[in-house]
Amino acid sequence: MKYEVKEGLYYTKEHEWLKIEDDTGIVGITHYASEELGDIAFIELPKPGKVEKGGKMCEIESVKAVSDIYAPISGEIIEANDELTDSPELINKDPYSAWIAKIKIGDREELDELLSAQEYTEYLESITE
Amino acid sequence: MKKLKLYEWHKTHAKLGEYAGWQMPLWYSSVKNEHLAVRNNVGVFDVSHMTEIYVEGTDALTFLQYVATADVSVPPPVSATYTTFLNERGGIKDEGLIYNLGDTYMIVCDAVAMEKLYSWLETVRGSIALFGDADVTIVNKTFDISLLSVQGPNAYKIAQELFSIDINEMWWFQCRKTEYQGAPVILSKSGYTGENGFELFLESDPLPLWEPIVNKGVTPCGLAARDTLRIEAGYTLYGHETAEKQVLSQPFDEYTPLHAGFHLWEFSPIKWEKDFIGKKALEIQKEVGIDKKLVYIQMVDKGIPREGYEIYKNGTCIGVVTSGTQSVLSGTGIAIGYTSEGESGDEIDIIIRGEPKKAEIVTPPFYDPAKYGAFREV
Repeated sequence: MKYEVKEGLYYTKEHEWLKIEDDTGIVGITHYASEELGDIAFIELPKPGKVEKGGKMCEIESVKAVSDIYAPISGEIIEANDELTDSPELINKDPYSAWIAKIKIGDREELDELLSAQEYTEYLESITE
Repeated sequence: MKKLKLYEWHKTHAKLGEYAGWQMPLWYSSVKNEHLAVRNNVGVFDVSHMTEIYVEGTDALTFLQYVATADVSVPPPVSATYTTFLNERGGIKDEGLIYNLGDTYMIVCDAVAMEKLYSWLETVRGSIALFGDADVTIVNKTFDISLLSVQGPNAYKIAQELFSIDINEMWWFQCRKTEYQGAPVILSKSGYTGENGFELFLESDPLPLWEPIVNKGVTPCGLAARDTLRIEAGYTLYGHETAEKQVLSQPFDEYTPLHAGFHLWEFSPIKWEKDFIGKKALEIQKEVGIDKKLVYIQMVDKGIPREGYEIYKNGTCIGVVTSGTQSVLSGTGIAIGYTSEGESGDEIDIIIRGEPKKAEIVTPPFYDPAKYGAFREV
């Protein structure tokens, strides 16, 4: 497996990761997603406010294309990582450090619908050769 | 999915993606690395997906003069001519180079319109009375020929090390027949990056040529960098700036060479003194007026213009983006598009995610030609 999947995080099939810290979920994109996108050139940071699980949170642009980032969980966006505005390439450098948004979790039961590191690894294996 | 002869090599070294039905290397290290390698040193592209069509026979030149807009009968030593191929409405069927190889002509175009172009050539040959008994043979060589493109300020040094011919003696767009370890190779001084460079056409296995090039420290570059480089240089691409509309909704709702401004070039690909398909439509268009033109756009605000984004001026929509990316050199958004008005220096807006973002119409290329590109001050 050439893509890093970090233990202890939740994952989506849209290749977002979610780290839980108390009642807050920290969201980023996975190593696989950053490799697929290539050089990330621009990110439109999410605006504070309510989001639904699976709803579009913001857009990320690589040199080549525009992609949507979806909220892995419902709740309220309370913070976005301003550092990425001037340095979106941080996501390529370390996708598990370069978080995008913090969401105050609305419904913890939704966590059960997300993938574990093990499940996400298996999912990646199923979609890559 | 169509595969390049070097597919196995690319598969182990590159991120692959689909383009025009081909499995192509998109990037090996990263778009930025590869882009900068071409601007600052030298890179190599496997662009074997490109269309090559041979036009042979004693009437080949007569045929090409009719089907292509440019004067193909260029005097030596130049052996390639940039041209467009038009439909009867003046719409661009394809754009590319026609090489005079001595014993045959070779059309080289992007891969997107390969089948359409080939069948168009066959249609013209078969249906036009002029060519009823003509000696013209059209052969699609795309799947036989590999095309490797070596680009960058240090490209010619690589050519000098690999081949016995002196590339510095050659003209831009000139090609020479040579060989590498006994395998015939056509070496053409040409490229699509804005830099100096050369391109190698060969029918034998390209690996024995590709590997020594890479082993000389030439950076392998994928299709993504090819696109960012050509946009930065201000070059058009079929399917974006040049395209044929299948349904004609209004007069001149085609992209014609006059919209693209090709007729204004010093070496124009439109030869008015000869007859060619689409000429009448272009002449009428010239009289009626040209309702849109190709413009080059640099963002002032943050944001990357993309194909399909609307262009506004003083609150009115004046056009649309046909290609856009982030300039690797400057970090700003750059684009090519069509507008109904606007001159270099004009302030405009690009609608990005529903919001107008400030931009400016500029003159290509999108880099300082004293510092980058084929005409840089060494």
